[in-house]
Amino acid sequence: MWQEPRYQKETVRENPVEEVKKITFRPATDIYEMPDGFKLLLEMPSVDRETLKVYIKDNQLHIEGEKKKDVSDGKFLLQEIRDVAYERVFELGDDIDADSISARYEQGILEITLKKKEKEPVKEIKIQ
Amino acid sequence: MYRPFPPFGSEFMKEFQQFREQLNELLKNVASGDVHLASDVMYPAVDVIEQDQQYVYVVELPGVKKEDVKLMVKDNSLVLEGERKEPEMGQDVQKIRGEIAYGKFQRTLPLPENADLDKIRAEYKNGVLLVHIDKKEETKPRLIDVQVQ
Repeated sequence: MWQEPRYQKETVRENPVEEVKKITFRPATDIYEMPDGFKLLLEMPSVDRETLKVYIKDNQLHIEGEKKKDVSDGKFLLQEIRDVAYERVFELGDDIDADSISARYEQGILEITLKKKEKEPVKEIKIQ
Repeated sequence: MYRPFPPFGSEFMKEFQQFREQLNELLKNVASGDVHLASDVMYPAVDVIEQDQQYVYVVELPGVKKEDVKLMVKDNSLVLEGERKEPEMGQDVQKIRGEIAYGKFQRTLPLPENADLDKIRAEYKNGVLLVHIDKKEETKPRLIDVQVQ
């Protein structure tokens, strides 16, 4: 669980809007396990909410989002912030309830909550 | 036990080459975010942009609360200090993966000479701090009407 499928080493995605090739970047992630579920925190500053996507497909959790430039024009005197598209995929275990997924984006951190499936009650067999 | 230093033969060079390849691979993975180096040190990325009327400092501070950031002007530099605190998750919660660096950070960024230090505005949104600093009104060349007789 929480394994990541093998990535291509350097993926470049076409960005149709700006016609600029954006480098995909896997955001740093913290994962917490709670008795009834999991919580993920992903470091994704200045994401354009319109491009933010969180979905489960084939038992894999997909996270995508593109950075939005905060300043549109001018001359760079220092440039450390990279213009990237965030992308990360995690394999989910069988005990995850895919319908329970919820996410919120606050202060540049994407928080995803997933619930574990309710365990089937143990059937007790009476011995005659 | 004494082991003689291997001669600079093909075997040694091969090992060295392998090491080089591994190191290159690691650096490439770090650059693309494939590998996150475990770190207690937070080092916020900064852009400084010059526009016609102002300078804009863009600082990435995801997960840092507004009240945990301090901005100062010192020795003609913009000093940024703060702390990213790890969120409290309560009992019965186990951290099973930790890639985000928490802790204190500090950055000192030089200010251009014509930055008007009385005109600094800061806003914080989506984990990004934007600091706007106006340029000083420069003495514009004056046009003098010369009466031609």
